[in-house]
Amino acid sequence: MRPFSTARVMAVTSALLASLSPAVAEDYPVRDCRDPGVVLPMVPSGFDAIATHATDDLMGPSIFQRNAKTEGGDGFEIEVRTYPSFEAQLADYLACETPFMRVTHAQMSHISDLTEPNPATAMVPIFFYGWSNGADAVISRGHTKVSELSGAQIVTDAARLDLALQLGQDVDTFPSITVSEDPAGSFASNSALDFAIVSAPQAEILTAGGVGTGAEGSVDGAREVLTTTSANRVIGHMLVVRKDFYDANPEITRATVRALLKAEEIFREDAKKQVVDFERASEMVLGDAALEDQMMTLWRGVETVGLAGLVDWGDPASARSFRTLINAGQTAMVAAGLRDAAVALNDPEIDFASLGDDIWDKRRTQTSGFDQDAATAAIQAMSNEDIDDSTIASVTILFEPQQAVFPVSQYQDAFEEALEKSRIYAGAVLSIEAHSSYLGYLRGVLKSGWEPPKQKRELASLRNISTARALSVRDALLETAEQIGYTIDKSQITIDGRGIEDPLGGFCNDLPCPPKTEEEWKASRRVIFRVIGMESEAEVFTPLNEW
Amino acid sequence: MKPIYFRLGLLALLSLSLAACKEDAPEPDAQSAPEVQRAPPPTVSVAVLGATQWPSDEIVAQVGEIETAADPFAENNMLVLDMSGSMEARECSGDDHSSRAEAAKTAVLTWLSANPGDNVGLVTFSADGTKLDFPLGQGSAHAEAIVNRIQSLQPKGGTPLLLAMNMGYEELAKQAVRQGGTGSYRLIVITDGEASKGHDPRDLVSRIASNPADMVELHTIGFCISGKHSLKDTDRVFYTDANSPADLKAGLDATQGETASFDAGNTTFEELQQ
Repeated sequence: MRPFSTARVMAVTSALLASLSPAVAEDYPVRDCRDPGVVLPMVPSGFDAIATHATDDLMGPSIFQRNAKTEGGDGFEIEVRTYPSFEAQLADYLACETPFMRVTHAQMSHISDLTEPNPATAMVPIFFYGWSNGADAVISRGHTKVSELSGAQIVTDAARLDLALQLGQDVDTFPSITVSEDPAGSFASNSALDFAIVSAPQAEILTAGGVGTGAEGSVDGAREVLTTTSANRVIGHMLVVRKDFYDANPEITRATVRALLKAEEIFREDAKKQVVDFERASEMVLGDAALEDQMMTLWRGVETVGLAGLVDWGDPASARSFRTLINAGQTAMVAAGLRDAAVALNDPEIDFASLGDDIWDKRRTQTSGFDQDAATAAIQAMSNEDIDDSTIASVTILFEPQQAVFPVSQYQDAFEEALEKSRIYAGAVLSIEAHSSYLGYLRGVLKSGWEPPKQKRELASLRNISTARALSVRDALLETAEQIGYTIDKSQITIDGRGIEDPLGGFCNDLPCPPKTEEEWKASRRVIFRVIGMESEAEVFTPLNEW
Repeated sequence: MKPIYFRLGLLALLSLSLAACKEDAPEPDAQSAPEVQRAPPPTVSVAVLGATQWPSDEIVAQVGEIETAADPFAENNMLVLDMSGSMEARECSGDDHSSRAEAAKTAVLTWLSANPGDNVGLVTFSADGTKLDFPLGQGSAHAEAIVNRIQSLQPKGGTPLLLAMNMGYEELAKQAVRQGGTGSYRLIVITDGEASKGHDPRDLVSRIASNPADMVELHTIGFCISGKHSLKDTDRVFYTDANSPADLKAGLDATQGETASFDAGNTTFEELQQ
C-alpha cells in the first residue's frame, strides 16, 4: 500500500479540463510514488498488442520476464493494467497506482495543470511508442475537404488533440476546438459540430463506411475527410513517468524502457511469423477476445519507430522530436484559446542511444512507404474535384513562356512550408502537376490551319514542356530539402505533366477556351505542388505492419 | 540532355552513305499542281485528352517495372522499310535510281540525316522476311549497323505492311512507357503502299490518329502512293514524296510550343478563327 501524501490537486476550473468529468477533476488524491513497482498502463491502441504479447508466458517465461532486469542484473516485475478511459488512468497516476501514464504530446500539455504544479507528479517522458498511422480519422457532416475546417467547429478527445491543432494551423481561420471525453457521442448528438476526430473504428460506424445515413449508429451525411494515414507524423504516443518515481528509480525506469524496446523488436518478428496471439491481445486491451480482428486493425493503424526513432524523438534538433511537437502544440493551443500561455514540461532525460547494446533492430522507419507508380496512376485517375477535396496544402509556381526553369529563391519560403507539410503529412502524396499555355496552340489550329498530325505533334510538345516544368520543380524541392537538412522520401513525389488537357477556362468546341485575360494566360503555365491525402487508394501504400 | 555524340556519329555515317547518291532530282513543278479548295482541317479533340489512355495497359504490362529510360525526353525514330518485290520496279524511282528499293534507301537515309533523333530502330520486310532488325537504340555502332543493314537489303517477297508497322509501333509504345510518356515517337514508313492481302494498315493508321493521347507521329516516305491511301492521308500522317530530295532534307518543322505574347484583342474563339 502506498502512503498518501498530504498534497491534493484541487479543482481546476479552466475550460482546459472541461473534458474531464467534474467528479474526478475536482479532487484527485495524490500519493508518494517512490516504490519501484512497475505497472504499465494499456489503452485501446494498436501499440498495446506489443505489451500483451510481452506478458504471454504460455510457452515459458514471457518477454517481460526475460528482459525486465537492470544493467546491474537485478530482475523486477512488469505488470500491465488496462484503462478504458483517460480519466481513470490520470487518477491512478496521481494516486500512484501506477507511476506511468500513456499520453500524446498535446494531451501532455493539456493536463499539465494537474500534474506539473506538484514536483512529485510532474511528467517525465521516457518512451515513444510511435505514430498513429491510420488509427484515427477526421469526419465531417456536410463537408468534404479539410480546408472547410476553416472557422468551423471540431470536437476531439485530448489524445487526438494534436491532429485538431495541426489541422487548425493548416486552414485559413483557426477552428473552434472542443475537447471531449467522447467526441463520437458529442458529434452524433450536436449538429453544430462540423467535424470530429475519432478512432478509425468509430469513424467506420459514424460514416457507415461511406456517407452516414442516420441508421445503425451512423450520422446522417457524415463522411471521412482525412485519416492519420496521411497525417502520420502528428499523433505520437508516449509513456511518461512521475518525477518522484523517476528520481528514486532511474535504473528501473531505464530498464523498463529497454524491456519495451526489446518487446517491440520481438513482437515484429513474431508478427511476421504469425505467432502473435491477437485473441489474447483483444481480450486484454479491448476486453473481449472476440474482437481479434479489431485488435489487428488497430495494430495496422500504428507505426512503431524502433530504437533509431526513439533517439530521434529525444533529440530536440530532430524535426519531429518531443520538444518540437510540444512547442508546436502549445503554440497552437494558445492560438486556439485552449491555453493562456505555454507551460514548462520536462524533456526526455534518458540517453536512448546507449540502450541499444542488445537491440539488433536499429532500423529507422523512414523506409519508402509508397508505390510511386500506383500513386501516380491514382492521381491521374482522380477528377479535379477529387484532387481538390483531398488537397491538404498547395503551392503554385508560374513559369515564363517556353521556360522550364524558374526563380527558385522566389519560392523558397513556399517550398520550405510545403516540405514541412510533407514531414507532418508523411503519408500524403506530394503531387507535382504541371500545365502549359494553350494560346499558341489555338492560334495554330484556328488561324494557321494546322493539320491534325501537326496538332498532335504540338500537343505532345506541350506535354513535354509541362513535364519538364514538373521535373524542374521536383529538383528544386529536393534541393531545398537538402539545403535545410530534410530527408525526403522520394517515393512520396509524383510527377504529372498535363500539357493543355486541363485549361483554366474549360473547353469550347473540344478545344481549350482562349484565355480571357493576360493573368489567365500567365496562370495557364502553372505548376501546382500539392500535398494530397490518399487514404482511399490503399494500393498506393506499402503495408507497414504486415511483416 | 540529348546524346549529341550519337547524332554526330549518325550524321557522319549518313553523309558517307549518301555521298554516292545523286539526290538532286528536279523539284516538282508547283504550277502544275491542281488547285484544290480544301475544307478547314479537322481538329483533334483536346477535351478528351485527359480521359484517353496511351500506351495501353497491355503494353505497360509488357514493360518491366525497372525499365526506365535515362532520358525521358528522347526523340525516337522507328523506321519501317518496305523491301518487298514491288520495290524492284523502276516506276516512280526517279531518274537517278535503278529501282524504288534503291531510291528508298537513299530517301530514308536522307530523311534520317535531317531528323536524326536520339534513338533509332529498324523493321524491314524483304527477301529475309519481316523482322525487327534493330530495336530502338543509340550509339555510333548501332547507327552503323542500321545503315549497313539498309544498304544490304534486297527487294523480294510480299508486303506485310500492317505486320511490320505493328512491330515498329509496339516498339515505340514500349519506349513511351519507359520514358514516362514524354519525348517524341516517330514511325517512319518507306513504302510504295501496295500491301499484301490482309495487311492494309488503314485500321492502325486510324487508331493512332483518332487517339489524341497517342504520341506516335506517322510519317510516310512514299512512292507512287495514290491520294486515297491511308498512308497519304494528310489528316492522319506526315507525307513526304520519296522523289523530293528537298522535302526529305528539309527536316521536320520545329514545334511551336507556347506563344511568347498575349494579345488581348486576339483571343476570343471567333477572333482566332478569322
